[in-house]
Amino acid sequence: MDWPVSQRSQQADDELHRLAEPLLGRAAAYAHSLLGNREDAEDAIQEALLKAHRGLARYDRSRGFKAWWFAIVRNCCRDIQRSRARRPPSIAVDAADLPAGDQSAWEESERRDMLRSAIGQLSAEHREIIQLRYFGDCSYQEIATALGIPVGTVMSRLHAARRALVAISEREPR
Amino acid sequence: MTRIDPSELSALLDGELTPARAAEVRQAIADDPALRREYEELARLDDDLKAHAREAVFQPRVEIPQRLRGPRPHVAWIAPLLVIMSLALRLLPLPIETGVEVAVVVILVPYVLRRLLLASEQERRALANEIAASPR
Repeated sequence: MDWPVSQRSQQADDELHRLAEPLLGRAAAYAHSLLGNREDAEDAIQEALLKAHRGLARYDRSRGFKAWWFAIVRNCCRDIQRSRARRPPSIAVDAADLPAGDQSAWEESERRDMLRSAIGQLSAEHREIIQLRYFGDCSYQEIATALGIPVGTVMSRLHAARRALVAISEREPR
Repeated sequence: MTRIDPSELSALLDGELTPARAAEVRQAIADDPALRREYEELARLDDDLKAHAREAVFQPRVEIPQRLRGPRPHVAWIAPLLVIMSLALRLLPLPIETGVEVAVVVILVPYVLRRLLLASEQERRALANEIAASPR
């Protein structure tokens, strides 16, 4: 006997797959930039997926999935930071991520280290907006929604963060 | 000369200005060497950050949650089913004594089977994800 069933939960599964899957790589990069290692980043993304799955019916579709999704990822990263009582690191990197070998790879690695170090020296507010813009690849509107701030504030804060990064890079010995 | 808010240089880089305003800001950059230097500095930083962020992207080893419970029988079917089972119990020489036992067997067996099938499907997907991610 075939039971008549509600299609709603199946549709929710399909919708989460369709919406979240293309964003997983960026979300992982963003979580990694906040937490400093892949394992924690994957834990955060897994937790975010579970929360998104449970809350999918409640999300405001008019504001777009990406902003909602990154807000969840951000909260999950914060939970992990709190639970592990760690200070948010600078943009750390796993040893396996570093290129090995020729001179240009070495220079590239050094350039990335400097950038990572510069981001780590930003204020929490500036670092957060740089991470969402670049690692999360979020638009101003998406950042505004994820952080709960006006778009104009995103624009000015992002510019200030960039100016701060330039200033730090100029201070750092090359 | 058009007045430019410094943050509009960033917004231009990010493609966040309207086409009309973007044209004005571009013109102002072309007319003002100091503004041009600042814009070029920001553009270099933007390139570096984008490259850095692209390199940081990786496919996390995670499972997109699936429905953990199988489809439930619609509530409206349960009452008539129980009535039918009670009648069947009276008419048929079944080796069980109450309608409740019949109901338990008829409802629980398909439910448990379905859960087992869903669980094995989840394990299969998790394994497939793990295999796909392992050569990193």
